[in-house]
Amino acid sequence: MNEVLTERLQLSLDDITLPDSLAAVVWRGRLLRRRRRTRRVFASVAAVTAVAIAVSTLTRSAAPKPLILVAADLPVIPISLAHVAPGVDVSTDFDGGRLRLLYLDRDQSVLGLSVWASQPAVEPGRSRQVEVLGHPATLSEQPDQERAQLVWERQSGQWIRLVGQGDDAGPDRLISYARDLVDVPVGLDMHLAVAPDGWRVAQYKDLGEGGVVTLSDPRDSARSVVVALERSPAPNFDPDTLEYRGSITTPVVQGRPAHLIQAKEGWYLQAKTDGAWFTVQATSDLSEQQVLDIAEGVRL
Amino acid sequence: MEFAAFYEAHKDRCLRALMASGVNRSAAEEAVAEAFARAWSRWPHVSRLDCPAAWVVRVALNTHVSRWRKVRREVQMDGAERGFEHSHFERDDLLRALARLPDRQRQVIALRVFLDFDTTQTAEVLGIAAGTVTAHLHRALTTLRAADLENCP
Repeated sequence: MNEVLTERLQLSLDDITLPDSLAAVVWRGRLLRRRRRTRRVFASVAAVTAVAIAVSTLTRSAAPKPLILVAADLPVIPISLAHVAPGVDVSTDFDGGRLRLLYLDRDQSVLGLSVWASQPAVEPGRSRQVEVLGHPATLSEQPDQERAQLVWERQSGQWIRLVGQGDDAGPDRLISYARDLVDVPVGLDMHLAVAPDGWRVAQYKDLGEGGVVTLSDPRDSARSVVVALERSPAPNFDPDTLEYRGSITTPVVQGRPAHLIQAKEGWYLQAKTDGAWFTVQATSDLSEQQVLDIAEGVRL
Repeated sequence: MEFAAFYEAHKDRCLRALMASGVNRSAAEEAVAEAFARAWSRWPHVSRLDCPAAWVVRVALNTHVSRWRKVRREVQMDGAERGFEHSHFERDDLLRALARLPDRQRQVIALRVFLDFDTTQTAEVLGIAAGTVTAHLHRALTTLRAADLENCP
């Protein structure tokens, strides 16, 4: 291989990084493994509870900075559709610091809704000016991709972008959806009552059967807490399947028995809430009581 | 090897290799994350392979994400994100030349350059003969060198 070419190609994509945290990938892997085992061992409870955490990335020599917990300030989309047809899946996603609301109908048409503080970009395409409830709006179409976007300032400082794809999310339908928006907020598919003061949502993934939210300190992203929630009965707690090693206690969380591991890398807690089970993985910056306080406030 | 260390060492390189192969950024992120999740779920097996990264890339290239996820990612490919991806391939002459290569040549370059795979590993991932890899590599490099010379000031 030509070394100069190789180096130039490598440098050209050097700033591309995979945003998925280790915890999110492991959570996804755990779902895959559990599905596989469930298929294999049809007559038994074959749930696997294995969630790993980046041991090396979570270990730091610096003394933990004291933290306090405050009411969690999770991202919310302040508006949503007033009318959602039966059979439409509604989901949230979080990427690049922005929460999105997604509606998917049975015909696989999809509508994406995001809210911006300033005018968002519009994809190049066949563009025209339209009106949405008296507000000027830009409608851009990419017919070859069955795709359209509508952008307008709904109120001062609140820009909306609707992206439609598929037969039932074309240009006319986008304008119709735009007229159907109401000030009903939608947040993540899980609720946290408290979170470390000043920490922000670094990542959120809705994985269909559950979701994973990562909160981290914006000044030091290695300081983090990851809450993963799954809508299913809790599997048996089996420390042998975990990559965490440490002392195990059985505190009561939300009135139910839970399992807490204190490892040198941090905390791992597995607990139940109504209709779901969840794990909390936190760096050692948090105290045991703070981990339990966060777990107390996890809800579907 | 610990999975955590493997993930940290290879996740970005695998993503860049997929993008260089012609997969758009969102789809590549999804496929690579899925492939690593599968690797984790089979880690006792995957970790014993000669080259676990080759396994991950093969899975990522072969991953057929569900329609739901695919559609979601397509919708997310809007505005800034799309522009960001395009900017890489538009601002760099060499990447533009890479993007114009036939798919197979592009994949060979991606695996050789971004994952440092040898001919055997590249052949295994792509399911082609080692000799074919060599031929694709030769043709691709010839094209890229010519493009590079053309763009020299």
